Amino acid sequence: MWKRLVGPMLAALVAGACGGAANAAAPNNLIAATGAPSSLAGDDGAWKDAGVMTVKTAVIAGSAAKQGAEVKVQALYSSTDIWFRFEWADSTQSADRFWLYDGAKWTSSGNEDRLALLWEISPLERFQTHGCTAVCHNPVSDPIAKWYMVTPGADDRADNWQWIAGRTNPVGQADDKYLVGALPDPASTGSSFVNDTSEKGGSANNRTADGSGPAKMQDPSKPASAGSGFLLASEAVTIDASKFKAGDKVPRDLLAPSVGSRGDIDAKGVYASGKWTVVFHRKLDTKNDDDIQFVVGRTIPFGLAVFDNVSGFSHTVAGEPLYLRFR
Amino acid sequence: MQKIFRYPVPAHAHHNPLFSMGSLLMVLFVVQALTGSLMAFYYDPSPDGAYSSVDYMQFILPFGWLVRGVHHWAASAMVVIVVLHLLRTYLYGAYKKPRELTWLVGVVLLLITVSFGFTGYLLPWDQKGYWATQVGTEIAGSVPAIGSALRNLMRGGEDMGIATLTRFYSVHMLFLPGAFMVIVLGHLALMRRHGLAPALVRRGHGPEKTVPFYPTHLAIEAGIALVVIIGLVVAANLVPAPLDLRADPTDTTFVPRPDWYFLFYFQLLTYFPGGLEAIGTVAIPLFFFGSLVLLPFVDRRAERRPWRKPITSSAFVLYAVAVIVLTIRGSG
Repeated sequence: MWKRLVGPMLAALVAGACGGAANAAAPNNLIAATGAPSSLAGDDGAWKDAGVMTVKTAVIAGSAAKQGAEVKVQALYSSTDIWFRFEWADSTQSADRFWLYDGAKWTSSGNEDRLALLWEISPLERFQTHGCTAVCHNPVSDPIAKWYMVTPGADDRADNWQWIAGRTNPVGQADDKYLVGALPDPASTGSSFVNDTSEKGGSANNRTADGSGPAKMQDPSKPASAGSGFLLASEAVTIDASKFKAGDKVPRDLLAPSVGSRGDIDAKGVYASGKWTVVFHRKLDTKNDDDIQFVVGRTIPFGLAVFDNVSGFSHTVAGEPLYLRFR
Repeated sequence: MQKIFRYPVPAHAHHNPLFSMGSLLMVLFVVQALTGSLMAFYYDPSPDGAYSSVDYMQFILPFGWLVRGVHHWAASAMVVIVVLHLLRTYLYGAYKKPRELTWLVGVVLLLITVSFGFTGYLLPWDQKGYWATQVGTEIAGSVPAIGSALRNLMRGGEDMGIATLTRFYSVHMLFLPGAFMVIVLGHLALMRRHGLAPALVRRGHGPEKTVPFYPTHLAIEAGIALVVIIGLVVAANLVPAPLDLRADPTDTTFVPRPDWYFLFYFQLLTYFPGGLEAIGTVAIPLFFFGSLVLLPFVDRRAERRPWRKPITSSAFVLYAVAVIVLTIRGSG
């Protein structure tokens, strides 16, 4: 009799162990599936095998939390590379930073949509349990203009990826920076974000020395290969003011893909039917010390923020920590 | 040595794998000692370094995942095998005279085996291990009269910290293995002195057939051990040893869960909140282990066949059902 009981007992114990061990997809877990999309278009069939994590973002400032975009996130990985897909609703496509000519002078205008991710390069205190709020340096009661982000420890670093609709999307990249533990320039609240090393390339401001207007314009002999509203540095020539009339616009940025660590993230964003679909691609291991290295199997906390035609502090952020896990 | 090799193993034991659980436990102990020693080359027993060193072994060090994975799965296997060994001894009535002391020594070995699991769980210093140990030491702290002293002894102070990790590491690496080896030798010596309990049902007349331990029975036990070791390697490859996020002592939102073999007790405690806590933390464990210790002295009849021992057999079924149901509920 006792021999017959052993089997069911073992089965029950194993079932209990499996049930206890399998922490089946908590809401803030992004489970990366094996696979490789053939392009960054976002509609590749490979994505149907990847689970979807839905992230709610909100403004964490002021007296009332403002709800932001709800972002659907997926991840795929191979033995050497990793891809992320983001999809969120946005009523307007904003990718315009331009100089506007009124017939007499130039004024700068426009903004752009953006998606940013934050990863640990070195362990950040409280990041894995508090997410991005661990790197916000100010209490909520401080005026927004004083807010800045630094890593909790002076020697800590975090990897910051920013896909920017106007400045990086046209060149097929996301900007790769890292966050440090102090403000190198106390007067500049954004100075804690340091560009990854770059051999060449990267976008630059298109403005004259006195900042009164654009310095460059599209070479008339070449088509604008990045599309209307975007100016590649390789297609820019010194501006000829006589060619412009009131109402004309010139892009505020000279675009060029970064080469080196700063340019190691490929990215493509497509706006259609009132939503953005953005795909990131990077090597699992870039071997750069200013980047996070993805190790398959490790649980990796990260933060996510969405900028809807704004820059600086007015972004909405995932309030809870998010975790990348590998299936 | 001749006596050991020529030991006559009764046929009923030779043909029943349940009689090989004891030797399998010793093999698993050797596996744990070997894999644990390999990991000790890289492990840093400090709160600042423990997690990183385990992370390094798991994800960076060549075959580190395999060594840690085998260690992880062998720990669970030891618990399963020690329970099977105890159950076989219980159901065959092999705790009865003259084997009472062998049984008692076996109960001590059961305690040592689960203590290995309890102390080892903390060593990665991840969220799961940290908070499960926090809860476990708090449970010890709830014992009337001596609770505070017991908790402080385990933690090396009021709070969990470096002293907790170093003493759990010392106990896991030094004290428990030493105690295990000494007590196993005593267990084996007692087993050899009194021999294996005879078969429950005798077929035919005359003495039971035996086979020599070496090479006949040893071949069976070696085969079983090899299958289990291969199974551990396969398990480590298919389901890597888990490593949760780094322990964050400031995170009071984490819901701790013990390792699976403590889930039944974890669930049991939820039924005794507040003022009833001492029932769950003291009375029930005392009753359980007390019943194991007193068993040979309470059940003194010569009868060993389970179907002729309704009380002890019913108690076995009750314990088994309770543990299984509580484990399943605790895992939810």
